[in-house]
Amino acid sequence: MNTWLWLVEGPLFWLSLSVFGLGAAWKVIGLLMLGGPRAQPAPRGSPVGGAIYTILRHFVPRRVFLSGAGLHAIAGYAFHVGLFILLGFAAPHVAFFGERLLGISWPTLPRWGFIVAAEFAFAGLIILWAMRISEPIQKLVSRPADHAATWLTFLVMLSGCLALEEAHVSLRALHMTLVDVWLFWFPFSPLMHTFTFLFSRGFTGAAYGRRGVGL
Amino acid sequence: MNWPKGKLHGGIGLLLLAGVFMILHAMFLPAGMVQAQQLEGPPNTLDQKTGPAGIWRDLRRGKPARETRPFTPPVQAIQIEGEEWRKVRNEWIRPIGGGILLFALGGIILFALFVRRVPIEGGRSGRMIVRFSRYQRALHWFVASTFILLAVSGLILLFGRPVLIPLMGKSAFSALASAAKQGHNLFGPVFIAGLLLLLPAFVRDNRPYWQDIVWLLRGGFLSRREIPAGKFNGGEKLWFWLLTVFGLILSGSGIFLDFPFLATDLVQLQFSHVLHAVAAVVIIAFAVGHAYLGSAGVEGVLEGMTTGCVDENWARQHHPLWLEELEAKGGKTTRGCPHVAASDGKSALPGQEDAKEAAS
Repeated sequence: MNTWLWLVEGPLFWLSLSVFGLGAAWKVIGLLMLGGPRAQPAPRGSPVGGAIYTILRHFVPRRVFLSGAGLHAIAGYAFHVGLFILLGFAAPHVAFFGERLLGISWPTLPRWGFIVAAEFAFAGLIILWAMRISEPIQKLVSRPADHAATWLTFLVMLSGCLALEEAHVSLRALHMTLVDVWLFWFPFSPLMHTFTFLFSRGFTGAAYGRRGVGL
Repeated sequence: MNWPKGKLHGGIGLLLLAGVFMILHAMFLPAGMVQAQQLEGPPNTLDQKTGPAGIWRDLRRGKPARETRPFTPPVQAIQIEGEEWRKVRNEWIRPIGGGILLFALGGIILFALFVRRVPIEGGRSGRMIVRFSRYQRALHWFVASTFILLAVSGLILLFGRPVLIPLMGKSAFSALASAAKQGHNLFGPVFIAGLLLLLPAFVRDNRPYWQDIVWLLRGGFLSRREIPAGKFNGGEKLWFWLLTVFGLILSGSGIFLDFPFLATDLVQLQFSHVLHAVAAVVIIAFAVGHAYLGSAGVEGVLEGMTTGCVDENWARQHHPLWLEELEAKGGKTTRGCPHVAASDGKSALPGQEDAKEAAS
């Protein structure tokens, strides 16, 4: 069992982290290298302003879509904010990052804070998945990779919470195994939206900003 | 016996010396040692006539005993209700609950073997009508997902010791039970939040009517001919109200178990646990039936929860009163429904071409 844990926290973790880092960088650089359209008329507005405006504006759902997409937006925020808090401020994560990666430490959440953040994250993710399987349009545009990304993220979170007692090496090893799989697959999956949403929104915003249209 | 005179005098002298020494020893003994001898052990507040076995018996019966610390009132050393709770859990809830769950599973298997799948009479019409809103569907799957997680982890905790330890051993079960406990405690509040949103979203259409009693008395799905029903039939309404009553019991008792500091004493927690286990067994048994009849058991029912829409022929067959009500009120709508081909290959949605041609 200790060998398994050593493997998934040692060599396999470093391998998957390297794949994650290099793969994500490769994709992002690839996107940037694509550039924009070459021949364009003189801009009527600021592309940079349009990009920044659109990136920020899309964090808030538009009023006309609130009745339809309100639950989706709330669930999305619950999941992403909850996951960010869990990842960055859960005591076992801070200890792991401090010891293995960064060599520094920062304040951690109390246990109750961890539980509340986890509950919000789980509730959000389950609602998002429920909508994915029960909304005809979302169902139509969802690829198997989208479902796989949801499930894998769910399993990573679940295994982490199941190991909360920190009394069994096997549970920690299971969590780290899933983390390694998640990191390894990340650059090749829809999970890349973690980085690409900025470019997607920015590109659209810049295009409209150039035409003097606010999105 | 003739003692030599010298030896007799010597013996008396030794006895006197020993006596003097003992008196001196007692006089100059350290004060702490004297105290220790005088205060040896706390006063026995229990029945002194019965001895250690009797004291132990009294403690196990919950008789209060005084602590060795001064000025403390007598306290109950052993919480004897815990033994009663353990017996109820192990000797009543486990076997009876296990039996109920196996009975439900057996019923589903028999239904699947003999009734098989209830088909749509006359096939699909291709006309889809809205049955559930987006909000209702999202809540349904949200509560269903958390319920499955809680049911699996709860069953591991309740039945794991007698069922899983012989299969996987104590060490592996220890890790599994730890994981189940953490998962159960974590998802409990999430389920409660979902349930509290779900019940109001479905209560309007689940108001009981006389026709629901008739539906149940005639045997529901097992009846040879269809029994008229509104939007939900008697079985679905029974499930809804069982979920409401037992779900709220499950939630209330679960809050005490998840946050034990809310309870004033252990008896409350033990009572909560018994309620929690009984309500869980009832809900899980009915949920198994609900899951089967809501998916594989009845043709055309699952799409109501996956797309929000059902085929009109399905509605006419199983819920004719609802369909009549929709038609009378003009509330029958196809908005947002997917295009589904009819059994004869035609789609009857207004303005829609032949489904096969459209697909090609």
